[in-house]
Amino acid sequence: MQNMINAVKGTARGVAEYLTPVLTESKFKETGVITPEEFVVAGDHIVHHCPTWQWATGEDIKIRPYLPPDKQFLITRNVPCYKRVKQMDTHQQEQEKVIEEEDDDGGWVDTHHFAPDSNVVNTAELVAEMTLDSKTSQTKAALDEDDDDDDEDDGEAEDMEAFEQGGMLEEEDDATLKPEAVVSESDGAAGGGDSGIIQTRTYDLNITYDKYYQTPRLWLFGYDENRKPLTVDELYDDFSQDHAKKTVTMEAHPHLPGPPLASVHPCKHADVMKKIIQTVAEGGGELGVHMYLMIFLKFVQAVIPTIEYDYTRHFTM
Amino acid sequence: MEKLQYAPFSCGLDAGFWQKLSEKKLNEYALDETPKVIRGFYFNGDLANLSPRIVLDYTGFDRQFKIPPRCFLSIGTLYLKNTLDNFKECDKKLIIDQVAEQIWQDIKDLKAVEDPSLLSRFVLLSFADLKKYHYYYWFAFPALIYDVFLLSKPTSLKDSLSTEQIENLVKNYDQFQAQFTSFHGYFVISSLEDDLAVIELQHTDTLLAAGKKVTFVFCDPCTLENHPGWPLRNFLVLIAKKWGNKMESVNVLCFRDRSRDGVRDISHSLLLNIKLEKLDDQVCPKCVGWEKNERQKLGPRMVNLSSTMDPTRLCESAV
Repeated sequence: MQNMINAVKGTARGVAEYLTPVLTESKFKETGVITPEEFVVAGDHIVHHCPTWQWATGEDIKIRPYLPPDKQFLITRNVPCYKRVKQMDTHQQEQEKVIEEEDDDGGWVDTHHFAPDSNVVNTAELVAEMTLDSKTSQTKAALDEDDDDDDEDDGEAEDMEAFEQGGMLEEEDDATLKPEAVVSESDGAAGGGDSGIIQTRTYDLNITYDKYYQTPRLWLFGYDENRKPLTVDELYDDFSQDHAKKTVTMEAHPHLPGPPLASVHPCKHADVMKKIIQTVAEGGGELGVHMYLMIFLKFVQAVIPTIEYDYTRHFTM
Repeated sequence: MEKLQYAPFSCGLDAGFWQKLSEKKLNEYALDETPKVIRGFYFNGDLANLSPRIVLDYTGFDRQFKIPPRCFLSIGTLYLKNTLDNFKECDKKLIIDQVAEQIWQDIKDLKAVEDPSLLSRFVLLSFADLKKYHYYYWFAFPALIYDVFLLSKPTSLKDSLSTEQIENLVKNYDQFQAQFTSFHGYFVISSLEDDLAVIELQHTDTLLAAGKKVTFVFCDPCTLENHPGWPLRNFLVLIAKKWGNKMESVNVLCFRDRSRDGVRDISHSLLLNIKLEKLDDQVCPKCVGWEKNERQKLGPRMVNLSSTMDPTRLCESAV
């Protein structure tokens, strides 16, 4: 239901965006919204500290006049996502910190706020564990995929095995690293460390400036273990269950061609940002507007807890 | 001695690419099957254990293609076939051999010394079933076969250089890249007055004439601890062809440049000491590079985008 409401809102918003004047005066501390200029300042800050994030232009015809042509939105590519949210059942009540309470939709919760720092180490261990049974998970992925082909009701797909070439095409080349070779190498040699290439889901993430909500907006494009685009249902595996379908909508990207992309709906962003700024102010600290995107990326992590994008700086709230 | 093995590239295609390809096919190429130039890029800062990949997005068709910041150019040839049969039956060996011949030519007449990005090429063979939104594709990353051996185990940069030297190298690397409109994927470093200078490949002869020791560097998309990525393959053929008669072994730095949590790190870059084998420089070496599919067989892949691109299905799922 919420999904549909968001879809309708999305269309109406397109019209409303024309009518919304561009925000020029800074209202960031009072309301949590930012001007395009402030978005650029915050974007420059994140590009400087996390070079995996870069500015992009997008399609020329879609350039927004209130942003510099070469700084229309931010992009980071090939971000790994090793686990589905439901696999990551480390959720513990005592680690939660409610960021926003008085909200009928349930508000925002930072699920790992009080988690000890050793979490980082745990993740590394988990990843190492994953390598050992990567063979089984790969086969499973392959099986799943065959299922997908059968599901399609719009014309049969060709049998891809019929396209495979015999030994005629090219010689066996032993300078090409075989994926299995690396895994066994590290199993054998003690302290070998080379744990091989992990076939995992990856994401491309974008942050655009949403003129209507006057906040940043996060977009996601996911690839499966074989680097094929994820379907919408597969994408939902990587959103926290509290937010999937409610906060996440499929819409046309404002700067890129192509099919609709998943995006974290920005209708609550300003409120959450305002709350965080207030929390920091109460603690005697002050957040400069240049920190805006780092905080933004920290709080959207509650929506996509397993996508390992970089947002740097362990700042305290 | 251990034979040097390289982690192959894989392809990364976003949905915007297929959308653009469909538009091009309908509005521009029509039934024209002649090969087209497209462009992709790779990155040397991925997190550990991700597979190295060449990325193609919707900008790959642009004449004024702009390489994204901190990424490296790869030049591609698109073979877009009109029918599934043409896709299936075209001569794949001929296709990859033509690119190999091109790379070899650029190495022989030393064009690749001036513009080393000519070494990094790919082929995309494709058939687009525009009615069903089914896209068939097969990538090749052509590499000339030239087998070499490691004289010692690969070491990481942090085991060979001090922290100050590494910081210094990062600074000089940034200055070097800042001179160009886009990042260069191949260069050399040499110690000049206690400093590790980063220098364009074309000045290597000058350095050697001055009696300097040169380390060849390529920006490495691979993240494995003991293996370099694919771009080194054709680079080593160039090194052997151009400088093989002057040196018996070379030092190669696989430059990896990662940022995480606000900290820049190149210390996991790999240093290789490679014995240069004699290269028969009269004939074009044999070539490999067709990408394996999900089943690890030589074969194409297919992606079905009807759920995201077909207007009728989009309508259904919108309500």
